[in-house]
Amino acid sequence: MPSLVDGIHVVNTETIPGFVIQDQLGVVSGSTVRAKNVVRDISQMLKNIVGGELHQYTNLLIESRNEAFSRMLEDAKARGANGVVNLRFATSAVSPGAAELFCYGTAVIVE
Amino acid sequence: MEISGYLVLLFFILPLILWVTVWGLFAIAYPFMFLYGALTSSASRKRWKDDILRREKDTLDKVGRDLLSMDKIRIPFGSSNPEVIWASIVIGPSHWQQLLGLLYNLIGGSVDIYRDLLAIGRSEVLQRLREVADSKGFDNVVGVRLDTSMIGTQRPKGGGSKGIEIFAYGTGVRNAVPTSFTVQKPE
Repeated sequence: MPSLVDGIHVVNTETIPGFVIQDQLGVVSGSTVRAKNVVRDISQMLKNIVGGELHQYTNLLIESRNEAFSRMLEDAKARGANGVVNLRFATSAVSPGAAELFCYGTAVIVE
Repeated sequence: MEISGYLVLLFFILPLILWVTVWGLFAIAYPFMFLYGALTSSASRKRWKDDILRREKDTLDKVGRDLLSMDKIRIPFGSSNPEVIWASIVIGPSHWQQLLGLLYNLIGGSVDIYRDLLAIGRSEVLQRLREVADSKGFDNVVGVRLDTSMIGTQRPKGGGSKGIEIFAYGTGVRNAVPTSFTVQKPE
């Protein structure tokens, strides 16, 4: 969870507590599409028969979300923002075996 | 002659033997794994539930109240250093549970086995969010949202591994008051 990276405040509320929003710079977003690899898939298929948490997939999705998140931060940084408000996450299965992880928010300048 | 014989052995016979061995082992092991999943299904769910309840109680004892809320922030004071935090889990219904779900599908009605599994997954993920917030030293987590999605079906028509991802995120704050704490009760 890289949050205060490069001095960018990221929140999923409308305001950032302790700061005043000066300017709004539009919607920024970052996404990644990840597929599973074969070794993980086989081990998780075996785990799936018995049931329970699929740890490998949990870790895979956390890594992918971090990637999508940092891409969004790059977008915000390129616009000269120092805050992102109203962050939202979305997940969609684009094809069997691959999932898109997407996050978006409003880039703002805060003081 | 000799070389082509070796080639046949190397590229045809050996892979065939390997393939048959792997699938044979899988075919022998599968019924046992299925049975194990079926027999331990309710016990493991109960254990998982107890574990979550215990951890929830630990956090409650430590903090004194629930950290999570869906509120917005109204009155911030001091420096609060807000941060987005998240937690997620991928749960796989066992083949036994999938079979039960399929049977429920025939007679209709509420599919209790999936409801139970999803309820456990949700409480687990919310508890993980509380633990993350607690470890980062936040007083409150506001604007908590939950997101559920199906991932990783290998083949479109069933089969392969099925995963249900549950994802929770929110904004951790310090020294800030969520709105519900500031609402006055009418006299």
